[in-house]
This record gives sequence, structure tokens and C-alpha cells, in this order.
Amino acid sequence: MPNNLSASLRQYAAAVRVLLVLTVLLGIVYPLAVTGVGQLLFRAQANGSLVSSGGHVVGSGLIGQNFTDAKGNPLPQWFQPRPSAAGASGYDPTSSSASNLGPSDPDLVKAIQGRRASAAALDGVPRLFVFLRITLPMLSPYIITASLFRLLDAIQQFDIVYAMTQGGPGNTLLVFQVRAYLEFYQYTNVGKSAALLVVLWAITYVLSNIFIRNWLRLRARSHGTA
Amino acid sequence: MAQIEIKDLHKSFKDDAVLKGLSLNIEKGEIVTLFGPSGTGKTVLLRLLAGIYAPDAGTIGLRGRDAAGSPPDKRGIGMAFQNFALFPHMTARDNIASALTARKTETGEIARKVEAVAQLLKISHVLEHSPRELSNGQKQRTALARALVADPDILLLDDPLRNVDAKLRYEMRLELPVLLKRARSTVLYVTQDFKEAMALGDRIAVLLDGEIAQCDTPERIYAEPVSIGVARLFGDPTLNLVEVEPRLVDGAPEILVGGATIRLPASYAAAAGGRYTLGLRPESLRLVDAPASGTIAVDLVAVTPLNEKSVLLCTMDGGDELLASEAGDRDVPRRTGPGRVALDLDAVLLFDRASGRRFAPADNNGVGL
Amino acid sequence: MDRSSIVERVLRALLLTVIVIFFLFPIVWILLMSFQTNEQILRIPPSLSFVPTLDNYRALISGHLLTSAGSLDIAFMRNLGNSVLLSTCAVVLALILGVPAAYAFARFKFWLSEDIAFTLLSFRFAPPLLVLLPLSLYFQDLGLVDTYVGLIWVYQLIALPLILWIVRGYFEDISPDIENAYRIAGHSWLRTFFKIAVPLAGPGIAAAGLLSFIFCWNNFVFALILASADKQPVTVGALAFVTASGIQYGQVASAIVLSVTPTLLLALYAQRWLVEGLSLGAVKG
Repeated sequence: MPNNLSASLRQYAAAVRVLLVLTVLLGIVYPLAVTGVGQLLFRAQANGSLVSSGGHVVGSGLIGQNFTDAKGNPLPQWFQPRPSAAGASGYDPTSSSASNLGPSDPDLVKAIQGRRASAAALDGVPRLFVFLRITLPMLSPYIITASLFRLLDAIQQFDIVYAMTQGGPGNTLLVFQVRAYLEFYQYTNVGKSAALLVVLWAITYVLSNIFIRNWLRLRARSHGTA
Repeated sequence: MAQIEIKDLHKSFKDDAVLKGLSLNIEKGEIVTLFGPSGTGKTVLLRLLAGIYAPDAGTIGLRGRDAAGSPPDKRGIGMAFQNFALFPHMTARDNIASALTARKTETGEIARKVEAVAQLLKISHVLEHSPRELSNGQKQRTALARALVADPDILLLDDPLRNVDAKLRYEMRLELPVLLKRARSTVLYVTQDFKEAMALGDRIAVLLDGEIAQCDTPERIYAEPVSIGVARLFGDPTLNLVEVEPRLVDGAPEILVGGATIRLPASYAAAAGGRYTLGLRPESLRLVDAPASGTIAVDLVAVTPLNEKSVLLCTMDGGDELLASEAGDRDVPRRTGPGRVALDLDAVLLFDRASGRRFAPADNNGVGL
Repeated sequence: MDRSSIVERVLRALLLTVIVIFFLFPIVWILLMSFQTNEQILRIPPSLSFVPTLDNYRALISGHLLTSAGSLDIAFMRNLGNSVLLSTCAVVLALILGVPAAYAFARFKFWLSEDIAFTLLSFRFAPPLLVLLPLSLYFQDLGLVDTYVGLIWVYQLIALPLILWIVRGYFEDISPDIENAYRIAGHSWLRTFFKIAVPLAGPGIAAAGLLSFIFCWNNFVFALILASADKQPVTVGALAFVTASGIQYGQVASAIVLSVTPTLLLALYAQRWLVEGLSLGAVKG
């Protein structure tokens, strides 16, 4: 109906007018004004805080840069900037991050440990420090596994103790198995001896489970299948 | 009766169903190439034939007898593995001879046969070396020699040219068919390279989705692929695909391609009204100068000269891209810009959009092929 | 290495010397003792210079122990023979049983295979007396106490787990395609096992065998409980030197030297293989 048509037409016209006005105002006038203000009052910053030397631009005050020579050694006449791992050689302004590995990713953890070692070497950190803070932590799973292995053997020690002391002067060296042996043969307390051995076995069973699982995990990891 | 009869073979590993009802018959003395993208189960099929794995369901018939329960050493098959699988603690000579020592052949005969096959494969001068000391090409030939030396009537070759450098691969691609024909064995040759498949096989068996999609001569597979999946595996550059809806106009089927109306041969009349994908092989497209009926307006975007051919990238109205390939001796415009492309109507392929199967145009009697 | 200071280098040398002395000292001392008489050994203060004598060795080999109270018969050479017999037979039996079993564990994944392998390995860490004390009672019933057969059987507890786990690792490292190729060439499974699998795992089998031999040789408890005087190996036989007429240190020392020499020589000769076997394939390639 004509009435409705003209009413909606008027609405459309009004909407188009608003569109045009706002486009001009917000899309053209405002940006120009702000740019103008920026160029007038903060010229250097608005243009990127460029740093020039000897007549040409050598960088920006806001973007990190390399200050090393061709071989990667830091040049002594410049202060060295904050470290950067952006891109292949660092300081690549188009790269957004060092890598996309998550913080608990084992590859990243290993890489960080390796970098710490080489950074320490570069900085002339005393090797003892490197050993304590970097090498030892990396070795710790293997050290723990080896220690568990020896602990298991030590708890069950029989041969040397029995052969040399047969339980020690008095009762001082009655370790598990020596005690069990003596209970069995000297005092013929078969039950007591068996009980001792079962307790010992329970302990070693738990410990050996931990050890074997750990060892299998380490083996799989070095096979690259963990 | 075929020498190798595979019926409805099923094989899964853990939860992964690799072969789902595969059937294939190979006649005596035939060379069949088993071709398909990687991971589809070609190696699994070879191992099922050799007896290394047992199928979950289905039967394998060798020489007319069911092979179920027959261990690998009793099947009388020669096999060459992709990673050579040479015995590291034996010389090349002993490696090759191992296929004969099992059959209780006398030593003189063994030496003769090993020398003969080594001469054929040109490895006579490295027979005393251990596998460690052989180059990849020599290892591959030793593995082949081991498969061939006992004159098996069934040969299984698992992509033997894969781990070999390009130059040797090219040479072997010419030598192998001669070798295989001379051996007069039934050969099943696995490859991932379609050119190799087409060059070596009397027939090509295309393995897709755990089944043989098509098993035909190379010419027929190329010209009459049974589905889009098969068509896409062959051809370099790959087939162009355009969605079309044929319509009957004045009794003749017509399609709209890139804004141009193309009249299809009458044998496609039955396709009218359906939704299809048009397959155009790049070599069936030609750049022409003058607009004519049945040509499509395109914008030539890039030209890649490749000596024996040039690949032209064009865009049609509507944005779809077309790859055309012209033989090297033709004059190809080096300038990009607007042009026209003509189709070879005898070479078009029409695939049903829903099922992917090729629409078979009716022959002269109006009966579908 | 070029960065280490003088202090570091001196410290390192010092530390190494201390450790070497700590480990080698008992062996060197025993060696020296074996060439001294009892009086020289017990002299206070102990001196390093002495006149060497072969009396100790002569006494051992002839079987007569000379004490201040007279001469005692010592069956040390018999003990040595027992050690050799027991260790060799135990290892041979363990190889015959263990290598095929290791192959089965490596190639076939049968039901409970991981659990069984795990259990067999855990025997290595269980206290031996747990098994031995009740076993000594059962052996009496079975009539196996103080027999070579009984001992060799029980020695499997030491040798089998080791052989199983080391050799299994080596079998797993062989690509199954090599065995498949040999079978397709027409050879039976048994022939493939002997001509392909065993030769390719050869270094591993040798290492496992050597290691088991050394562990069996060094064993003390098993023979202590299950054998008596004439079947005892050297480890237990050494106790016999603690006689009523005082400990004959010189002869003990020469007995020890004779006991230690076979395994020491074996270990030195095969040390590369032993290290490989010990790491059990932890580092590939």
C-alpha cells in the first residue's frame, strides 16, 4: 500500500543518510584529524620512533635488533639488547613467537635445558654451577633408577655380612637375610624366619616394581617411542 | 581358473579395518600392478598372499587351491620387500642362494643359477660383498635376484623401486618389464607412482578404501575410470573438476561451464536432470584463438613451461580454475590474459556428484556400457 | 677442557686416584698377601717389601693346608672344579631354555606375555633366602640336597631372568622382515630361528651368557644352603679357611686369587660386550 511504501522508503532514506554521514565523519574526518594531530605534536613517535644514523634509518626505538657481528659474537661497542627467540635468528619482527610448543612439552623442556647449558657456557658461569643446576637435574631420572637398583641389592645383602661376621659381634649386624638365616638354622624358628623373608620380599617387590617401570620408561624414551 | 584368486578378503589391525572385502583375480603369467595412495593396505595384501599374516575373513586361492593354513615356506612364492630385507650376516651370493638352498638343489646347480641371475641384474661384481657394503641400487637388485632365482611362478614385488635414486628408478622402469616377461611368472607389483603403474602393468588394480575400486588395462583406467577417486589418482597435472547440471535442450544434453554452454554428445542424454561433476583431463583442453561454440572464455593466469609440455593455469568466469596442458612442440602464448579454451568432447568424464561413480554414456544402441 | 684451571685439573686427578685406590686396593693387597707367609702378613707395622714365596699356592694345589699345628687337608681345588662345573652347566641350561623363550617374548604377543616377563625379571630382585630356606626342606624330601643336578636347577633362578631380558632386547631389534624373507625363500620356522635369528642376536646371547656365568660364579647363598662340603663352589669353600688353628691368611689370599682370576679374565676379555649387554639396548645404535 502506498502509505506503507513511502513510510518505509523514508526510513530507508534516513538510514542511508546516517550511513553516509557517519562514514564521512568517522571514516574520513576523524582519522585525518587524529593523524594530523599526531604528525603535529608527536611526529617522531607517530612515524615509528625511527632511529637514524649518518642520514639513513637504521632501526626503530621500539623494535629489538641484533647487535652481533656476522659470526654471532656480540659487538663490544653496543649495549646488548634483551634476548629474543623470534624467528630463526631472533629479532624477526614478523614472527609472533619462538615456537608453538606448550610449557610442559618434553621437547621444549629438553631444548630449554640445552640452551641453559650453552648460555651458561657463553657467560662463563663456573662449571660447578653448570653441573649442579643443569647437568644433575637432567641426569636425575637415571641417577634415581641406578640408586633404586643398588638400594634393592643393599637391603638384601647377605654374603659379605654372613661370611665375615655371622651377624656381627652380638646382634649388631643382623640384617634381614642374615637374621632370617640364623633364625632358621640356629634357632630353628622356621615360622619367624619365613615371616621375616615375606616382609623383606614385600619391600623389594614394591621397590622393584618402581624400578622396573622407571627403567622401561627410560628405555622407551631413549628409543624414541615414549 | 585364475592363478591367484582373492575373494572378499578382510583384515584389521586393532581397531583399524585395512581391507574390507577385497576381491581380485590374477591370471597366469599376468603382470598386475597394485596401485593406491599410501596407507591403503597394499603391503598388507602382499603379506596376506605370502602367508605372513592370516586374513580375518575371506579366501585366498593359489594355483587353484585354498592357501589357508599354508605357511610362507610352502607357498612357492618369490617376494622382494620395500626395505630390501637382506640378511646382514651373509654375502650377497648367499642371500640370493637362500631361495635355492631350501629346495635341496645341489651346490653346482645353485652356483650356476646365482651367477645367471646376477648377470641378468648386473650385480655379478658385488656378489662377495655383505649387504652393508652395497649401494641402495645394488641392494635392490640383490633383493630382486633373490626373488627371481628360484623361478617362482608367483612373484610379489613390494614397491622395489621406492628406496632407489631417481636415475636408477628410471632405468629399472625400462628394464623391469623385460625381466618380468622373461621370467614368465605371475606378478603382483605394488607401487605408489601412477606412471610406474601404467608403464609396468598388463592391468592395474586400484586399491581404495580397502577394496579394489577398478582392475583394468592402463588405457581403460585412464579413459574410463570407474569413479572420481580412481580418476584423480592418474594424470599429471591432476584432472580438472567442475560441477555441472546437464539439461536437455532441443533433445541434446547441454551443460554450463564457466559461463559457456557446451553441448555434450547425445550419448549423455540420460544424464539430464542430475547433479554431476565434470572431469576434464588437462591434455584434452586446448587454447584457441577464436571464440566458437563449445569454447569457454578464460583468463590465462600463469604458464609453466616443462620442456615436454607446458602447464597453463586459467580461471573461468565464476572463479573456478582450469589446468590445461599442451604438448611441448605447440606454440603456447607466453602472455597471460583473456583467451578461450576448447574441450575434447570425446574425452570428458561425467561423475555423479553424490556417489562419485562415473556416468557411462550410452553406446550406439542406446544401452549403457 | 681448555677452560679448566690448574686447580680443577689437580682436583680431578686427585679424585680419580682416590677412587682407583679405593677399588683396586683390596685386590692388589690380596695379590701381595698371596705371596707372603702368615708371619709376614701379620707383622706390625705392615710393610710393603717382602720376600715372595709360592708356599701358599703349593699348599692349595696339592691340597694340604700347613698350619702351625700340623697339616690339614683342604679340598680347594675340588671347590674350584665345582665352581667351574656348576657355573658352566647352569649357563648352558639357561641358554637352552632362555634363548627360545626370549624369542617367544620378542616375536609373539600372547596373552599375559608382558606380565610373565615382568614376573620373571622380578625374580632377579627377590631375596634368594625366601626361596632357598623352604627349598632346602623340599630338596631333602626330593633327595636333591647336595647334588649337582639340584644346584644347577636352582642356579637357573640367577641365570634365566638375565638371559631372558637381555636376549629379548636383541631379538626385538632384528627387523621381522628379515625373518619373513628367509621363510618365504622356503625355509621352515626352525631353520629360520637357527640360521637367522640366533646368529643376528649372537653378540647379545654371548653377553648374556658371560654375565650369567659371572653371577653364577659369584653366588654364595645357594650353595651354602643346598650343598655340603664336596659340592661347594669356591665362594663357600673359602669359609673353610677359618680353621680352629687360626685363619691362614696367606692361603686364603691365594685361594681368593685363584677364585677371582677366571671371572676377572673373562670380564676383561669381553668388557665391551658386557657393557652393551648391561645397558640392555637402552641406547639404540
